[in-house]
Amino acid sequence: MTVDLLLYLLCGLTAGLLGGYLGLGGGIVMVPFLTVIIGMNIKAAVPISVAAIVVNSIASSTEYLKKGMVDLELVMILAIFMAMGNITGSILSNYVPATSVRLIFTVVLVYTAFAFVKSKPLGEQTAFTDNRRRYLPLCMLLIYITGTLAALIGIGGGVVLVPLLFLIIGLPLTTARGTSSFLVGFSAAAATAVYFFNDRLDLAVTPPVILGILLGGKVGGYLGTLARPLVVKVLFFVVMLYLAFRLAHEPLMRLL
Amino acid sequence: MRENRLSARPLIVLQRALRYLFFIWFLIVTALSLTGNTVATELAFWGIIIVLVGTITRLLLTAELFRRSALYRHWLLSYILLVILLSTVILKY
Repeated sequence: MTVDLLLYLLCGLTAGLLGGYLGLGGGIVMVPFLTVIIGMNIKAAVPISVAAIVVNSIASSTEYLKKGMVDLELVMILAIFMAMGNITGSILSNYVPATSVRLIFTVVLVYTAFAFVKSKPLGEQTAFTDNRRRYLPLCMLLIYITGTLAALIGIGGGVVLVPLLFLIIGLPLTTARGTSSFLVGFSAAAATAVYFFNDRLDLAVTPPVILGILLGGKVGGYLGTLARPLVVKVLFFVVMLYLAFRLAHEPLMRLL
Repeated sequence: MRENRLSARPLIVLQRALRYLFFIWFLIVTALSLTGNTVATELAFWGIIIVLVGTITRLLLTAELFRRSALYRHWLLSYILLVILLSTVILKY
């Protein structure tokens, strides 16, 4: 029991640390950790991850709010579509088999790994023209799909949201990260409520994971400001591909 | 980049308070779980309720900030989001 609790704490700590260090929400690290390392069923891991994302959103977006890097006006428009997508995802999770969820997650991990490696260093990143009037309907649709996917596989959706806000809407990267960090809290709360009131949220595992992500996020965020971009990129790429391989290995072996 | 037309100061204060509350609450729950105390599950249940209530408070405060800044369309959108979130909970319970 004690060892289990410490493992859950370590899971949250790792997710928070890596998430904060690499500038991600944590869900993308937490679900593979719970399933691959602890051996939990992905359908049990997803609600825990979503609940931790709500807490992490509140904790991590404060710094962005302080620096004026959250576009609150945009948040309200997009949060509605994200929440609707999350609800669709959490309902779909009752019908989609665990193997499919693992495979979808693998695709998201591989996409994230390559997108992160291909991204430009901070100095080269430029803010585009504000395209919200032009591309907002497209963005709403994409955010709805992101919300569905996020709730289905237990991530906040930051890995898709940040590029979307940066490349399509044209927000500066730091504002895109801040806006995404603030936004995911609302939509993940809807999914958490659905899981919680359906008794699908494990109340023995969730508290140490939340505690871990609160601790790890703070340290990871600080370390992230000191890290060399190349080191971060290489570490991220290796971790993501390893987790993707471990997640896909079993379902693919069964299929082949 | 468009300038934010509203002051987020009250939101920052709320989020900071929530962060400390969550940390202390879940630290107590984890410590109780480690000692095998059965109250831990009960406290974890209320912890999740606090997280959800905290999110609603955050949303209501954001709506109020929009109203104060005369951004009535966004103020309305905040309440639409709140209705969506609450109706989900009510329908699923």
